[in-house]
Amino acid sequence: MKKTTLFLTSTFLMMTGAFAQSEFPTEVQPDWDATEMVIMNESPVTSQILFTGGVDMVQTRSGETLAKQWHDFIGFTPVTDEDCVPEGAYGWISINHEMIAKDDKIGDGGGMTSFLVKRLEDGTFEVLDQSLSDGREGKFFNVDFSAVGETGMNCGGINSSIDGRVWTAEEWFRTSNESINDGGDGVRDISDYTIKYTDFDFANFQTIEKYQNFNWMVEIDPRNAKAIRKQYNWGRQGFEGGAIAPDNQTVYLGVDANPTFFTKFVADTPGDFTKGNLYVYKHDAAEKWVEIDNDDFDKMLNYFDEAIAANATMYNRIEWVTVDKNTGKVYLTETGRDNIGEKWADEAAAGAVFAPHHVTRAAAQGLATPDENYTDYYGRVLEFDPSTNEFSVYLAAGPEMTEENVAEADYPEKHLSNPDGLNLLYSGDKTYMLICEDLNGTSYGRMPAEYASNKMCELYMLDMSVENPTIDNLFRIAQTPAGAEITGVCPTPDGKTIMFNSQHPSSDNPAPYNNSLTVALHGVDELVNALDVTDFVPTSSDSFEIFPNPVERLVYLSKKTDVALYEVTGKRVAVYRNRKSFDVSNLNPGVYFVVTKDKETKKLVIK
Amino acid sequence: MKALKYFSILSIGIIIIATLLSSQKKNGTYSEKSIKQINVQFQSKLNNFEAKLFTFEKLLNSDFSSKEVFTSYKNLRKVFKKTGLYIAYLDPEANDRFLNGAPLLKIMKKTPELSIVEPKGMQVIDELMGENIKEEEIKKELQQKVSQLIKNYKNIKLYVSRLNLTDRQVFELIRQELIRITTLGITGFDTPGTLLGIADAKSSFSEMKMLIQAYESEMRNINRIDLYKETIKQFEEGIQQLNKDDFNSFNRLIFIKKVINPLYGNIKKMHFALGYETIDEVYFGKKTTNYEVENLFEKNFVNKEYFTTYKVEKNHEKVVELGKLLFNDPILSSTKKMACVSCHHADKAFTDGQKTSISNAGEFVKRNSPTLNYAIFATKYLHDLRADRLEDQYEHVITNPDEFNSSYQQIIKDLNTSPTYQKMFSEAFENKEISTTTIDHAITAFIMDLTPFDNDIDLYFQNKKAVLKPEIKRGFNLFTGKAACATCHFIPLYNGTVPPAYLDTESEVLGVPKTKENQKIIDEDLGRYGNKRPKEHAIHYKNSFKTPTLRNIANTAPYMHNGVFNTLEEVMEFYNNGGGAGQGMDVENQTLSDAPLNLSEQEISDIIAFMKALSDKKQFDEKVNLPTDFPNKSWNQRKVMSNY
Repeated sequence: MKKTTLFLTSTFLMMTGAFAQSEFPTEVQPDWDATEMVIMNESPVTSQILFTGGVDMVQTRSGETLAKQWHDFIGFTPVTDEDCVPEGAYGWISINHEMIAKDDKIGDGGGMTSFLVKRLEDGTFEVLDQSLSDGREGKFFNVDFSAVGETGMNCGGINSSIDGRVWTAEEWFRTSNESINDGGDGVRDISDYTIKYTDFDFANFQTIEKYQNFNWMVEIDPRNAKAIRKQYNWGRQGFEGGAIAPDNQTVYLGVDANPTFFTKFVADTPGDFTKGNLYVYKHDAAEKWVEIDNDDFDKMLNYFDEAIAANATMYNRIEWVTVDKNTGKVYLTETGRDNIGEKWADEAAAGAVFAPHHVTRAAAQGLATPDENYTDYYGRVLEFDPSTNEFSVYLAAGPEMTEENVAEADYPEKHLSNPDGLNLLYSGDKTYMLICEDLNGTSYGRMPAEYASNKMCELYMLDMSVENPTIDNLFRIAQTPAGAEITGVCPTPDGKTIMFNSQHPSSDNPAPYNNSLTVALHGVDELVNALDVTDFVPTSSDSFEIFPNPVERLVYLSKKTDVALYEVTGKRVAVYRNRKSFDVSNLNPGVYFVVTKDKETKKLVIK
Repeated sequence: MKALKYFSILSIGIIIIATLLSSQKKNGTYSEKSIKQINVQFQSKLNNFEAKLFTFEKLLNSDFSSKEVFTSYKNLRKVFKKTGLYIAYLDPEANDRFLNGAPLLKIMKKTPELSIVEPKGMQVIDELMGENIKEEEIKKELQQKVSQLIKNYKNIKLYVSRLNLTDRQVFELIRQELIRITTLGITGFDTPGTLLGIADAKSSFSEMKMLIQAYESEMRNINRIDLYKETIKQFEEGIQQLNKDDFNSFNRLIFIKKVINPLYGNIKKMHFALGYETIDEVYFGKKTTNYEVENLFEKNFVNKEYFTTYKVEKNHEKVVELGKLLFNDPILSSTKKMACVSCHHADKAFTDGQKTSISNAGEFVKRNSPTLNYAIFATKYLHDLRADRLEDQYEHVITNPDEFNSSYQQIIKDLNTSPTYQKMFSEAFENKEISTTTIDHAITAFIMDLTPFDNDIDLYFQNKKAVLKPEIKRGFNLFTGKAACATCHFIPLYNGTVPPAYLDTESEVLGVPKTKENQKIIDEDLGRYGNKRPKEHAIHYKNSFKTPTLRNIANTAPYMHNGVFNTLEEVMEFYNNGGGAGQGMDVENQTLSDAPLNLSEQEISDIIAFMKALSDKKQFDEKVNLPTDFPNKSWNQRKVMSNY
């Protein structure tokens, strides 16, 4: 029988010569009835746009105006019994604007917007009307920074998991008034600033240049949309992230710089962060932490120099910091930098020390120290255990190219590149890590060749009950439109919603997505259930099976192979080579025919 | 009718049988096909280049003679060109940063501070090879750059060597290399020091030919050996033309017309005939080039939709009509006298003929009005590159106190009072309201259609025009060769959007003078350095301006960002003298070579004749009927202010 077919085939070939050489013809006439059907359900997650920069109106002390753009960090502050709010109100959402621009109404610099939401029966949010104590009325409120000497480049921040308190981080370290003034288009008032009437005696009546009043952590009150204080006692740094420990006393701080240091503040009294001691981490010191005198304003202004003088431990761009409220362990994204080696040589010469994992990595690259030839393309998530005061690499991004895995001549299935935003979602008795990518580049496999023109960033979720997690344990839960960046990932305390911002959007985004957006993904509790019950990572098998994951919008295959997708008319619409999964997020709902190179077939229904 | 029906049933039957048979044929597995051989070839090239780099490094560290080094360098380039096409395709970023980026300072993206990186790789080495390598300083730098490249190449190879090429990628990379050879190779961009671009192209050609030869049996299997043979012949014709290895006399016009364009079409035809998937079945986002297009000078070769958030709507014609109306309507400005058309006249390729444009108060603004034809093909807008898209650019005009002095909110409010406008928006955008987005998209739709691609050069390359005047031909060859114009004004767009990826729009420091009388004094406009983007506040962007398209240049005088030159002759003289720095101007960061081009008067006049041939045939007009149903009656008499 087989021989006959072969014979027929070759005759036919000779007669017509019409066959394509691809094992996947461009058109087929599939036998729809004879094929097993597999259904890809709709994602349990629905998305809702909450707040759009440049479109929504914010209430300022000087009237209504268009909201600023460049959304970054998101904080969530749950309503408590003491709050006097409309029936059903759930919490305040605070959004950072990472920019420096003049604005007559909002105020110059960057800023924040806060608003109050209620969860409706269908699970979505409604932005509620509010009247603030200062007389403002409306839905979206510009956070007033006038009392603390303005703000700028509001990037990351701190959102306490204890009570939802919010601090905004003033990133993009400034070294001159010229740079904040930006030729008159940024912060226009660049006269010297005198610090007055703050909780910090060492800072009061100090007169500083205006730019020096930037790059602090600033606590805000989302309820009244107003800044409370700049934390002059935490040092002046290009802050990105931070976290409050479960003791409500210890604060861990991260700075996106090269090199950067790890800082902690310990308050004298829980909940009062105006008094306490400041320390920089030094892994090779007996006590691990070196105190920096935070009663000395000069030292606070020049924190970086103090850290070097303390011979502190150097890291490669720390972005976000978060604390597991159950274990107390601290997690940090060390996002990495392609050319880090050139950037910390001076500090190393001045006595600062390399973090041990960088020394180990450099050795693996055949280098004595992490010098100018040292590469750190992918970054990682670090874990800091306060009980031992030791760091470890919790999740290595990658997979990184090393001599050992060159033999694996495949483009890897999953990539985690340059982790940035980081948060924890508590659902039932489980904790999930949420990790946002922010690609530094596309080289060395961070993006496959066909995507190289468009950086895509993904939002991943990791079940933290997995021991020694690797990138294979990650689930993708969102993908930004090409070129955009996902920032500010923030789960609500009830575990039902994840919010994030889509920043610096690119031309691939459909309107109105060319503005910065705050998006809420609702139904996360169902998503978590879906992840728990389904085994989406099938073991290798000889038979061909497909496993759709409606959450990730990925279809996993039982073996690594080449597959083609045909639409209902028999037209080939997609081909995936040497893959164990493929992405259906770009396909219209409908029926597809999945064919492998060995002609195994499945019918896939995408809902 | 009946016959037709039977015929279609019959053909469906044939398709079914064909499908059935093809699905059962065991015509060798994937790994035994052409692609297997290609992957072996690819791996060996990666190793060859590394070996040649070591040889070159060893020689540089010996007591060498310049001649020896040059011979060894030529050999290195040969192998480089046979390797580079794979790497540039598979890892464009690593290629640009470490292997073959332009010898210019760059900004590192995504760093926590402004970070400037030094150029690295073969172009930098080529620049040094153009100098006296016996000189101790040059020699040291050369040694250092080569050993740096060896280190970086190790990483590149580590990543790239573990990739397996697929058939789709082979055809794509060949076509990409054809674009690269045309725009960056034979123009001299790639070899700023040695001008070895022609010999380079020959090496690339022989590699591409070998790749295609791997498909001989597959082409035979599909009974398209004719197409295969024709393609091989075109490669051979190309190699023959490239054998006349002389940079200045190489006939680029004929090479593109007779070799590049036919090959670019044929490789696609082979790809489609063999039935391998294309990029459109692999990546579903927007791409900068359209893979189906067969000719570099065809209208849709570069995909204009990539550059805008506007997605061509069902009612595109209506959107364009609305956009044209908005473009011509002074209702958008606060004085109700100024419109886009005030500074962009259709008969002047949408420029205004002024040195610098005129403000709403009748005064000169800072800069010259740029042409809007082909403006869509850019990733940066305004002379100082402060906006990323056309849509982002409008805001700068709308809110500028010297220009529209208005806001989107005001415009939306005003337009909404006109029933005509309400109806037009609703019809064009399927019931969407008047908003920032719909206004932006209408104007963008209008501007993106100002791209007829029908000038004499286009028509010649599109094979719609048989002959060009001899001076135009000579001019094209000078433009793309000796005069080095095409190393910044990349063909076929003649602008600064860099091929073959078309993802970045460049700016250049030319040392444009404040006045043409004293060309030693630079215009004080800071350009890109002053564009308010903190991450572009880099010293090498001081006085740097966007590279505009030269299409329709005959109609866009005066020239440069400040309109300092009135005629193309003045412009050519400036370039022939090596720009500002070449004339003794104190400008350290000029990206244009300060060496004189040594163009003769005849050569200059040929280049100008060529540039004048870049004028579109299609004419655009400004005819619109402005809606007159505004409740504010005085607006219904509005006219665009034209005489100041």
